[in-house]
Amino acid sequence: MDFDFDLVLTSLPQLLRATRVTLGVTAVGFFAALVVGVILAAGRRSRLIPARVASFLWVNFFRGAALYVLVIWLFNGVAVATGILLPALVVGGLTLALLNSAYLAEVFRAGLDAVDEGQYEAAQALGLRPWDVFRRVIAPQASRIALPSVGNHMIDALKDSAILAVIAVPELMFTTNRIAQSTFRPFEMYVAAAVIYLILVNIIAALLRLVESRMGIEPTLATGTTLR
Amino acid sequence: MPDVPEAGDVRNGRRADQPALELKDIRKYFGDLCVLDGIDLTIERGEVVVIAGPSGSGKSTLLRGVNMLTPPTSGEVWFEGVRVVEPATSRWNPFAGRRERRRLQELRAHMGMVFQHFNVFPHLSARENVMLGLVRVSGLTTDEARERADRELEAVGLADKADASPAVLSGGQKQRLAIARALALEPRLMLFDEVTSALDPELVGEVLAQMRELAAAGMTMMVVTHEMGFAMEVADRFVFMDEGNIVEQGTPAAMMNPQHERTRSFLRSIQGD
Repeated sequence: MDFDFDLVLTSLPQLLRATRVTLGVTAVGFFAALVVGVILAAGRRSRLIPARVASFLWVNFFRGAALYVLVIWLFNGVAVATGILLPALVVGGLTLALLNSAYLAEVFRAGLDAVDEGQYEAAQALGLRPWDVFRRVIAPQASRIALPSVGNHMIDALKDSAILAVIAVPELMFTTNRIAQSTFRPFEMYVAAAVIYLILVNIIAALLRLVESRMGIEPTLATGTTLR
Repeated sequence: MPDVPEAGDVRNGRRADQPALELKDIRKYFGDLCVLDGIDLTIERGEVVVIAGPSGSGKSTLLRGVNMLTPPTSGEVWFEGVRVVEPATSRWNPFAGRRERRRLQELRAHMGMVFQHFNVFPHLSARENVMLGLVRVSGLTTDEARERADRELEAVGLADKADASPAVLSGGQKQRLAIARALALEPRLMLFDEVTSALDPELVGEVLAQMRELAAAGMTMMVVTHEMGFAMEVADRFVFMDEGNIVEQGTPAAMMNPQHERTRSFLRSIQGD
């Protein structure tokens, strides 16, 4: 069979623009998920019952939501229920944020649980305020433990963003579909998309490994395998 | 407590005429298990009190009750005439016990504590371990804290390890770092919780030497330890605990001839190994 390389080349500017959208929506969604995830993890460990219950419900609801269902429901369901049609890009970022906040909350909770009890005690015995105990002693150690898992979820979020094509977010997958359908050359276009995803994922994985080695973390099997 | 104002730290309400530490009828239960069964103990300023006893006798729990890491079930802790109170906690109100918590933080800053497992901060260098409290608790600037931290590290013989990560330090060095970290805040009472128990035998000496130096400098010390040689040499008073009670206490010399059989058998058992 013949591979129409010219089509890939002429589509490349469109694909790269779409890649920017993919990266943008992933970055915004994932960053929001990081912030919310930290708050949720703190909530799960709080002595306050309302905080614990709210975090528990949030995490279990969004961890149990299928991405495909969630994004369609947020886009169409919200519009039907309230009459407000949110832009697809906003819904896309929101979906990634909600879903990943639940996963990251669990990752951070595991990280916090893994910090030795003696670290809390030593920090408290020094007379540090609770915020300083968390910010200066516990969080830095917990984040080292959590970082490899956070990296994996970041990569997942990037690949998950392809699902946003279903609500016409003009990201890589949506754009690929569009060109493939209008040119009747799906093979070339999906190969091109696959290669772009592959490159993006490996760039992120390489950056994560760099950060991990800077922080003195042994590369884990999870993030290591993508490069080995 | 007398309510006549006296010389002392006005801000903390500490009083120069009060003992360093006064424990009154301290009881601690873990569920139904009675770990401390009404302990009364007074430690004068500058006094070095060594607490010994078989494991499970409650000596560590007593020590950890002083700064409320393990708050007693009942009884009173007085530090230089100031009541140390466990902050109230609530499952519903985030602001419950806020004032008591702040007060406890302030008091803890004046009570240094050294742990069996060092508990140095592994993500910070040796110098940063000492600096953290200086900056966040004592309110020094980073420059002041760095200078101060270097002096403290030098005092425990770790001047050349200031930039080292705790991961590369030996157990003895980690424990000396922990001592420097506590001393940097100029505590008025030092709590030592079996600080040599996790060390290789050849590293015990360097840590005990540091504590000996501290005692000689007049520090008030409450020391839970199995190091009887150290206890006999450094302690002003030796307290023997068993099953949550103080069985007997006295000067180290007096304790060479203990009155109680339990003390005698304990001393025999640790001399045996």
